[in-house]
Amino acid sequence: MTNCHSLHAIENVKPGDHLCCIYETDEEHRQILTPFLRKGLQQGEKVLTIVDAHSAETVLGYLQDDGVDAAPYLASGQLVIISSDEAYLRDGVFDPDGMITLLQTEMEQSLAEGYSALRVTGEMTWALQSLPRPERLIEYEAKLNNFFPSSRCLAICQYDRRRFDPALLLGVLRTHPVAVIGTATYDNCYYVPPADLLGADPASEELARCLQHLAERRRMEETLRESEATARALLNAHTDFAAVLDASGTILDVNEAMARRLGRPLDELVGMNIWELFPPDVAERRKAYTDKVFLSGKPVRFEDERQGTWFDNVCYPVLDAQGEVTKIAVHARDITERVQAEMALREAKELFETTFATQRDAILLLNAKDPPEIMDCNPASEEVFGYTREEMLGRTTAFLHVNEARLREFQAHLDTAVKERRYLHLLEFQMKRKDGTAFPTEHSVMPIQDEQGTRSGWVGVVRDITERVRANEDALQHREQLAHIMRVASMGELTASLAHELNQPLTAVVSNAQAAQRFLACDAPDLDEVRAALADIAESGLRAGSVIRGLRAMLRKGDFKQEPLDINEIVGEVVPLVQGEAVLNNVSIELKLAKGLPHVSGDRIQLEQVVLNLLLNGIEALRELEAGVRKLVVRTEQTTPDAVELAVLDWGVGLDEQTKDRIFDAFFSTKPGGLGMGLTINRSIVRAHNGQLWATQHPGGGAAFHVRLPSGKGKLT
Amino acid sequence: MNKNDPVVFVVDDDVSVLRALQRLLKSAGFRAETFVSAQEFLSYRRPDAPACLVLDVRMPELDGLDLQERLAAEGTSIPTIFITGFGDIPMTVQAMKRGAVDFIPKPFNDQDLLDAIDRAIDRDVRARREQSVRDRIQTRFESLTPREREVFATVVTGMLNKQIAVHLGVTEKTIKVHRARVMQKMQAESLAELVRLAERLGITPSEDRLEAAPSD
Repeated sequence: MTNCHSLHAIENVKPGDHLCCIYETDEEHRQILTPFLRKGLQQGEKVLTIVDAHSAETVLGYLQDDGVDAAPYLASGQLVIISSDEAYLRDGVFDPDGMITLLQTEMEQSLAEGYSALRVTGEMTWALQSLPRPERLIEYEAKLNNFFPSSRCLAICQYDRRRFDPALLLGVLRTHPVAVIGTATYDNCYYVPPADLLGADPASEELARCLQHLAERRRMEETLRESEATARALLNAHTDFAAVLDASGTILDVNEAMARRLGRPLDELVGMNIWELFPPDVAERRKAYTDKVFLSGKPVRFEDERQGTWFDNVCYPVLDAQGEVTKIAVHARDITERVQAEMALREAKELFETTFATQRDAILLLNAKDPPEIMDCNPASEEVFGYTREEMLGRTTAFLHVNEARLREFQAHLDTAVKERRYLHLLEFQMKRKDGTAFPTEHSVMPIQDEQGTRSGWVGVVRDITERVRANEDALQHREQLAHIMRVASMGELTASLAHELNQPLTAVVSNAQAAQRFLACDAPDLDEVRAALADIAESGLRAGSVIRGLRAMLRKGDFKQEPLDINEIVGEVVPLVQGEAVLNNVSIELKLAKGLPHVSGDRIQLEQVVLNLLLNGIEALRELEAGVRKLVVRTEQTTPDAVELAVLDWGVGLDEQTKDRIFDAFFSTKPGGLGMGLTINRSIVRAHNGQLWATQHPGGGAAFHVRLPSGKGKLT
Repeated sequence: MNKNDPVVFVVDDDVSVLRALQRLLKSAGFRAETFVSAQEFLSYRRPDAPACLVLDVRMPELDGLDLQERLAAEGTSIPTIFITGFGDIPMTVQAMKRGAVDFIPKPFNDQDLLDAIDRAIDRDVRARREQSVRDRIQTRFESLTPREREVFATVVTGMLNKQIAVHLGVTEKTIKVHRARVMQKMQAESLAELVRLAERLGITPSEDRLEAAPSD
């Protein structure tokens, strides 16, 4: 395997390593030796340098240029520089075994001196003097491989390629597990273990080894191809986009997903400049990021949006042997969904916060305790209730209710609502402010559940409806006033008829009284007649009284009073008021009132007003017609179990379609000079009684006005 | 009370008023028949006795004035007193123009009504008598022969017998005989009376008739 280490591999050399260094320039020599020495000194190893071609000063110079002051090391003896004479050629002769023994001894001594290991480097140029035979040198180097692995010693043997015979250097290559060629460090595949090298049949050993090496190499190539194919498949299999670019933006490689996105075939893309495929502003933006990778050598990650799609981009530097960034690998993932979800979440959060803060209704967030406590409330809550937020947090809602009983009542409403409908919706309920005043509210409460469905709290929205209640009351008052005005106007219109209605009983009273006087003046008075006359007088007096009473009731300005009423009684009280008008217009009124009707709940005067109005309208409608059809029928009946219906039918011309639709509109009138308010007021009165008022064309040919009112419980016989 | 006693018909849609009026009339010795509507009165077979009608003007369906019209159309005329709870002027004028005896607003003093009833009944009595006399005269006239009617018609012009004879183409003697019979049948005592009777009957002698040739 070709394992390309960087220069820093030199720095990783450890005890047991045996390296050769084959250099071609002095610069290479320096670059290898300096870190080797420095590292050893810094690590507390004994550093032994054997110099030959280069002098000791040169070596010290290397250290000095590197910023290492050698003096203290020399002084302490950690750094020892000797000449090859003192080492390899002691006694003038090179003895491999002797050298190894020397090394051993030196190592043991170094260890005894407290150093962690012995680091040795020797310049082998002395061997050029051909004193040792090349075989002896190689033998030595081979034998070293028996020594080093289990020792606390490490060495670099320096060989000047310019000066050594290639044949020898071949042997050097065979004898060092690690080779430093130039400045590149290699795990040496040509290394032959000493046993084989020095063995009986080195040639067949070598042959075996070469053949094995061929096989290994082929396997390596296959494995490489396979891993490349796998890598390619992996690259193309996933849907993220990947590309490899150089510093200028040339596409060196790209995956299928990216090719599809860029809209061109894969092979066409390789070699193109990626920046030309984007609009200038986009290219500029992205290039800024990739340039940063080239400059800093660190990965850069950024998010980017184009044509509605969001990408998560990672640009990863690819370092060469020198540690320079020559290429970058770009990987981009479509994160649109995530971004959109994030944006939606952010928007929702903002919306909630805005709503929470600006909402004019009080919003209370409560926890799931029993009873729940206020966990948070919005600014509006302070205005609605009068407490500050701090005063409300952590408390149960009891202090916001008018009293204990009301609180329990509210709880009951809430429980029922939650059970039936899951939430409480717009309950009108009184609450209490800080200053003690009770005020009307509209109350909604919804339980909050977490993902598992367990209740995690409550949200309550409380709207202060004081204004609305007041406005409603004002509106009600206005309607009352208007209804009163209408009643007074009606009464005004009826002056002549009412006078007539009073004249009738008065006539009866006077004539009966004068008749009685005549009877009594006889010699034998007919007392039965006198008695009967007096009875009739009384009855007529009362009848006149009831007309007056009816009139006064109509004129009275009263507040809406709710009580159980008999609809037939209502009719009975109104008919005398209109009788005169009917007669004046030659209209007969026929009553068809059902017996045993249930009572209705409402305001007597207002319902009388409705009936009065309908009768007057009926009389008006019949006024112009010929005799025989000038008839009004007032009918009451129970149409459904829960409603009572009153109908006023006439046999007049009836209503055409357009009139029928518009007849209840305010200010619409078919009467010349009519105000058009009557039916509108009637309708609003009937509505206020939870009833309905409508008009139909009845089979007899005239119009019929129907009033339907809900009946209360209980019948009146 | 016998069936020829005067009767007061009262028509009013208000039952209590009707009852009170009946009582009042009874207390004053009148015979009263009450009706609650105009229709009811129209479908009642009236007795042959002097009568008057006390009538409420405004009633549902058919009111007083309509009833008055209906009766006129029938050919009956009963003296009518209108009473009303309304008392408006145009109505009064209309009623009086149509020949009502009186128009009394309610409530009224009993004497006012009773006096009006007296006047009304008197009127009716006279009218009935008038009618009865007229009937009798009519009967007598119808008993005349055509020739006698001719003689009657010419005698009352004041012509002498011999002139009539010439005019009719008969002898004076015949005329005298006819004349005597006419006087007898018509129960006239004098020429003057005959003339009055002729007026009553509405016989007006015309010039044409004198010129025309008589036909026997």
